[in-house]
Amino acid sequence: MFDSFYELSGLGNTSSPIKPNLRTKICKYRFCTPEINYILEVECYKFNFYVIQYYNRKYKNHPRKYQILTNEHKARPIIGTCMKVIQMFSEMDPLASFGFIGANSYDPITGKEEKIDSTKRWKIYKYAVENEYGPETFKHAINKLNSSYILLRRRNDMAPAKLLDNILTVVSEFYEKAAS
Amino acid sequence: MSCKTAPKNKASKMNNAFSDMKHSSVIRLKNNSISEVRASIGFTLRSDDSVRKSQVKGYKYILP
Repeated sequence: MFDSFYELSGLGNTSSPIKPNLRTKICKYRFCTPEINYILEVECYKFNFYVIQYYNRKYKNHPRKYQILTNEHKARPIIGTCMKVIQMFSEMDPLASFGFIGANSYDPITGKEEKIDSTKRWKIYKYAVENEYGPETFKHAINKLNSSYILLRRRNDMAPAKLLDNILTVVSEFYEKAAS
Repeated sequence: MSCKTAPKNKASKMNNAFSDMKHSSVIRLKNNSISEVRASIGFTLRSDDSVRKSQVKGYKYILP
């Protein structure tokens, strides 16, 4: 279902402006659908944890850039591109764990906003990772309340529960909603 | 009727308390044990069976 994807062009890495000991860098990429240019960012955290996020380049300075729906109906190849990023980072870092948040949709015209629990995006991403990556490579962790999902790499040196605790302690320093 | 103002040190304590309230979630994280943190944040580890049951055709990739 998520076999198709868009080619990524690297835009370079930037060091984290805050707490660089916890978030080491942010890797930026660009991909283009027939109508829209997207920016895809991978935030690299301590404990080999990577957060994938993307937004329409046109809205790069918009406070709700992750929430705006484009209505281009290209979700499958865009999510396929994110799946490729998971593979790409797994090749670079065999201990990589991944996280994402299914942002609640916001319509800038009507001002309507989706609730933050179990969002439409989160359900699609959840479906994608369940079907693309089974429980063999990753232990799956979810939070329905704020629509977030973590794929915990199975590793010999740390149990999944301990890894999750460590990751959440780091991430809670950056994402207020994660801790509220 | 005169308006009584709080002494300086009391005011600063109040400010600190207010600041603590603003960051209560972070403070709670620092005070609690790490497994309580996970519970308070609302994350749950899924059982492998629940992931398998949600799959339509089985997973595709086993990564290194």
